[in-house]
Order: sequence, then C-alpha cells, then structure tokens
Amino acid sequence: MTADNGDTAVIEVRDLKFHYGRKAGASLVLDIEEFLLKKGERMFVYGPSGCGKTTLLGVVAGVLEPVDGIVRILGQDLTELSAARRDTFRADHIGYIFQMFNLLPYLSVLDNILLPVAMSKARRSRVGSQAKAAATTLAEHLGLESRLDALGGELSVGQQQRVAAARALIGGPELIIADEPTSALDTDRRTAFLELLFEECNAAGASLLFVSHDRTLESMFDRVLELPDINRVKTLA
Amino acid sequence: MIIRLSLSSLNSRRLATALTVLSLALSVALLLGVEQVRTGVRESFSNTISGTDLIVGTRVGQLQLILFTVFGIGSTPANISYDTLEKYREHPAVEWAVPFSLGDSHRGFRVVGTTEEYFEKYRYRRDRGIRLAEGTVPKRILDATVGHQVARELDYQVGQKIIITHGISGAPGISDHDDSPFTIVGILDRTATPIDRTVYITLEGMEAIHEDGPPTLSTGPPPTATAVQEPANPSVEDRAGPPAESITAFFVGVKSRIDTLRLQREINTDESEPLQAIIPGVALAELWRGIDMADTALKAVVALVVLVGLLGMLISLLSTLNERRREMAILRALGARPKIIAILLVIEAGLLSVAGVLLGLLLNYGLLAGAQPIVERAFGLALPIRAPNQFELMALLFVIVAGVLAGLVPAFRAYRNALSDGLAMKV
Ligand SMILES: Nc1ncnc2c1ncn2[C@@H]1O[C@H](COP(=O)(O)OP(=O)(O)O)[C@@H](O)[C@H]1O
Ligand SMILES: [Mg+2]
Repeated sequence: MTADNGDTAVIEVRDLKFHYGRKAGASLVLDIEEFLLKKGERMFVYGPSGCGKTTLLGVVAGVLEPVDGIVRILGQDLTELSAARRDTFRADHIGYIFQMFNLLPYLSVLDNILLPVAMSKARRSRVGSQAKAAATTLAEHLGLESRLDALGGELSVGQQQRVAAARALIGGPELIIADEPTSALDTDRRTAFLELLFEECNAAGASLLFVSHDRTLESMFDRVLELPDINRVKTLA
Repeated sequence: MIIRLSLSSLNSRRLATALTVLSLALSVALLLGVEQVRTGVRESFSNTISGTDLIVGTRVGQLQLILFTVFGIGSTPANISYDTLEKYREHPAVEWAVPFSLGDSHRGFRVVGTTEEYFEKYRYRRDRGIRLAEGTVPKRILDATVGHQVARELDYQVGQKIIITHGISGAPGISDHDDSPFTIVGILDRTATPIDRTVYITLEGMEAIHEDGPPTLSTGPPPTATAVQEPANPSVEDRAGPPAESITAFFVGVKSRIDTLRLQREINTDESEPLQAIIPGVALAELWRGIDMADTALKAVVALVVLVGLLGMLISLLSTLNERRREMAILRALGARPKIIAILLVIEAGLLSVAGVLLGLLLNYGLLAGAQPIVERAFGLALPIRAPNQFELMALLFVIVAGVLAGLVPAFRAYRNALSDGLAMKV
C-alpha cells in the first residue's frame, strides 16, 4: 500500500468496464473513464434506479470483478488481488451499509455491531481488547444504548440503519460505502441519520461514498456526482 | 464464529429445525431398533442350544434334524435303535450322550422322553443350564416335568395328574391313555427357548404309553385291582432291560472339540444303521440364513426411511435458501468469502444430522429400555441394551456423512448466488 498522504485517493477508478455474467459479449453496465474519491471526502452519487449505482459500489468493494480497468482502493489495485484477498481487503478497509435489512435478525444488536471485528484481523487489532467498549460507545453515539441486547429483527427500520452504521464504522475502516441507507427512512429522520453518520465518519477519519436516487440530501455533501454523467453506458428504460 | 452463526441461524428457525431433527431422529431410531430386534432374534436363535457338540438321528437332513430336536417343529422321523446310543456312549471320544424321544403330545405341547442327564447337560445362551422352578426332573415312569409356558398356560401345579396323548395332534381324547395318567413332579424355570413349551417324561414313561395297557414291570407285584385305580409309579430303575427299544435322536458331548468332526464322519458312515450327526451351530447358521432373507426387505425399507429423513433435511435447507440470500449478502459485504458461506450451510447440515443421530440414539435407547421387559414377556425375546454394534455405528456415521453431503447441494447454490448477486439486495 502506498503512503497515506493527503494526495492519495481513497478510490481511484480508471477505464472501468463491467458487465454481469462471464460471457464476453454481455452488454456493459458500467463504462467509466475516471472516478475519484479523496481522503476524508464525503461524496454523493445519484442517478435513477438501474443506472448502475449498486453495481459500482460492488466493484469498488471488490465483490464484483471488472472486465477491464483499474480499481485502486487506498492505493491497492483490487484487480491484482485474488478473490480471497479482495474479500479480506474489504473486511479490513471497507464498511458497507445497505438500503435495508442490514442486520442478521437472529443476532443481538451488540453481536451485529461486532461482526466485522470477528471477521477481520485488522479491524480487531484496531479496536484492541476493547471491542465491546468500542461497540457500546458507537451505539451510544447513535442513540442505541438501550437496544444492545435486542435482536436485530426486533428493531425499527431507523434503528436498524443506525446499527448498520455502527457496524460499518467499528474497527475504523478507511472507507464507508452506503447504498441508499436513508431511502427506507422518513424525511425528517434522514437528515438526523446523515448528521450522525457524518459525525462518526469525521471522528474515525473515514471517507464516505454515498449513493441515492433521491437528491434531497445532496446539499449536505462535499461533492455531488451524477452517475449517468460519467457512465458511458446508457441503459435507461 | 461460523459455528455460532450457524447455531443462531438454526435457532432462529427453531420449529423447522426441530421438525427436521425429529424426522431424522425417528428414522435413526427405527434403523437402530430394527437392527437390535434382528440381532436379538438371531442371538436368542443361535443360542437355543449350546454345549452340545453333535445331534445324532436318522438321515433326514440337517435342517429337519435341528428343527425337531431343538425347535420342536416338523414331523418326527423314523427312530434309531437304542443300541446305537449305547454303542456311542462307549466311544472313546464321547464324554456324554443323552437320548431324546419324540412322538407324543399333551394338549398341543410336545412330550419329550429323555433321562436325567439331559437336564444336566443341556445348555442354552452359551452356558445357561436348565433349572427347576419347583420340584424335580422326571425320575419315575409316570413322572412328568413341564416347561415354564406349559405350566403357565395350562395353570399346572406340582402334584397334578395329566394325560399324555399318543401322536402330536392337539385334540385330546382320541388316543388318550386314560389308564396311565402322569403326575407333574416339577416345573422348569423360564428359558425363553422351546424348552418352555415342552413336557418332559422319562424314556421308560414314553415306552409305557406305547405299550398296551399299564406299564408292565418284570419285578414287583402284578397289577391288582387297587393298582388299576391308583396306577403304580415305579422308579425307572425298577424296570428291567433297556429303557426303550428305540429313540428319536441323541445329543452328544465330546471329550475334546478336536474330535467332533472325526466323530461326525464316523457316525455318518456307520454301516449298522443309517445315521446322521449334525453340529448344532452349523445347522443353526444354515437355518438362520434362510430366515435372514426376509430381513433384507426390512432393511431396504429402513434405508428408505433414512433416505426420506435426509431428503426432508435437504428440502428444508433449500427452501430457506432464498429468504437467506439477504443474510448471505450481508456476510459477503462484511468480507466473508463465498467459500465461507458454502461452509456455513454444510455446517448447518452437519449440525442437523449430528443432532438427528444423537436424538435418534436417545429415542431408541429410551424406547428399548421401556419395551425390553414387555418384549421379553410377550415374545420371550431378550433385547439386551448394548452399545451400538459395528454395523449400527457405520449406519450412524453414514447418516452424518450423507447429511453433510446433502448440505453440499444448498451450499453450492449459495456459493453461486454469492458470486452472481454481488451486493444487490434481492428481496
Ligand atoms: N446480480 C445481477 N445480475 C445481473 N444483472 C444485474 C445484477 N444486479 C443488477 N443487474 C443489472 O445491472 C443494472 C444496474 O443495476 P444496479 O447497479 O442495481 O442499479 P441501481 O443500484 O442504480 O438501481 C440493472 O440493469 C440491473 O438489472
Ligand atoms: Mg441499487
């Protein structure tokens, strides 16, 4: 990994081509010349449903393998890594928040938050022996202190999203990726959720890549990008 | 970690998990039960007679000889002469030889004429001898000692008089020897073998039934009027000459096991009379092979039941797979490799199988402990509570292995989903 100076992009995507499936002739979903996220930056990416937002996040997270191009995260080109190494890299450096159903419904809130610590050695060593304390602190900041022992499935959607944020943040990953995490929330709750998320990202020094089809929140971000503008694939039905 | 996830996930689907485990457990319990009954039957079967090295009778084939001498089944073949018994008693290889005569019945039970030595030498279940519950073995001409079941079914007591019918038919009266009633002098302990259904008398007593009129004695007073009303019951020693003209068979114990085969050959080639000597163990094994055929079908049915149990588990795992795609995507986002997700499902299948086998064992031994006394009383079948035998252990291992292998099917599907779904949340 390259030095962690201010110039290093957290995400650097170049000449990316991606399509689902292994067939060579399949139609592309993404064709992006350049996409950059700087350290500490909070970026808002929007676009209509089906334009490839989730797909882009999958590529950036190393779950999906591009057909062509470079996907450099924290200076590490994911396309050079084996699938297993990419999975480990994701566990170590990326926190991911889904649109909804983020939690394993049969685990407690605390256990849900602690999952990344259990799965990643790097994140485990960053929280040290204080994993539980770190989880509790995060939960307190996010207003979840009274629900730590509840099961994931027993929470309201708003609480679930906050638990998902805590889980993404624990162990201090450098990059937080959020895929429409507010779309299941009421309008007034969205702002509150985002404020909490920003606060914790700031505290942890994490960069944030946030996608949504809904532009009402864009004013709160450092940078706003319309995916169809950079994606040369036009597949809007 | 993975195991904890599996356990929590299974726990969250408690009802489906419990039903899957239960159906597996029932099939496992059935599998064990069938095998226990089978080995129990075979054990008590092959232990019907032990300690006897040869059974000698006329040439009717080994199966028939063992059937009528040990199991009391089949028609009685021609007799062999008593002199033959006497001859082999003197044989240097022979330790003991006891006569065994059939041909009469008492209310449907076989009557066997033999000597006191029979009760000393006969062994079943390896080394158990015949024991008396009450009274003595038959010593005098009109003495009878009855088996446990005879006494129980006919409600007989020591001292009671009974009539022995000539021939095997159960219908009384036609050829009853009204004038020679036997007296019950003893009741045998339960053996759970055909001995329980046998009435034992002396050889002389049997001879007496077949003679016309009351037993004749060469010594002692001629029959008087009082003696006819109250027939005399002289001791067998009072009779002159050999106790019988002929007998049905005799049992032989050899001095040294090594001599068994040589003696068998010698008897089989005896030129004075057509004889056949059989080794009980060999004959029982041959008989068992014939009976064992039916049990292959039973085994096939049990195998199917186990298969259905495993299929049930497979279906249950596959049906939850779709609703668990979300769970899989979460784990993927957290950095779980597709392999881990596949292993998760294999572990779940393994846990279900192990739980099924353990619960099945518990159910089986619980039922066995409860049913054992009832089965013993009703069928005279001893079902020992024993550790699983090698076949059973193999079968249990097979269930677990097959369960894990069945888990590979949903695991493979989950693996493919994990690769193709990406992080899209399929709802
Ligand atoms: N797992 C998948 N397999 C095949 N095609 C997919 C898969 N996921 C998404 N797609 C397709 O890729 C395109 C982009 O989808 P997606 O990235 O989910 O869009 P967005 O998140 O912007 O709504 C859509 O046309 C969608 O049908
Ligand atoms: Mg999407």
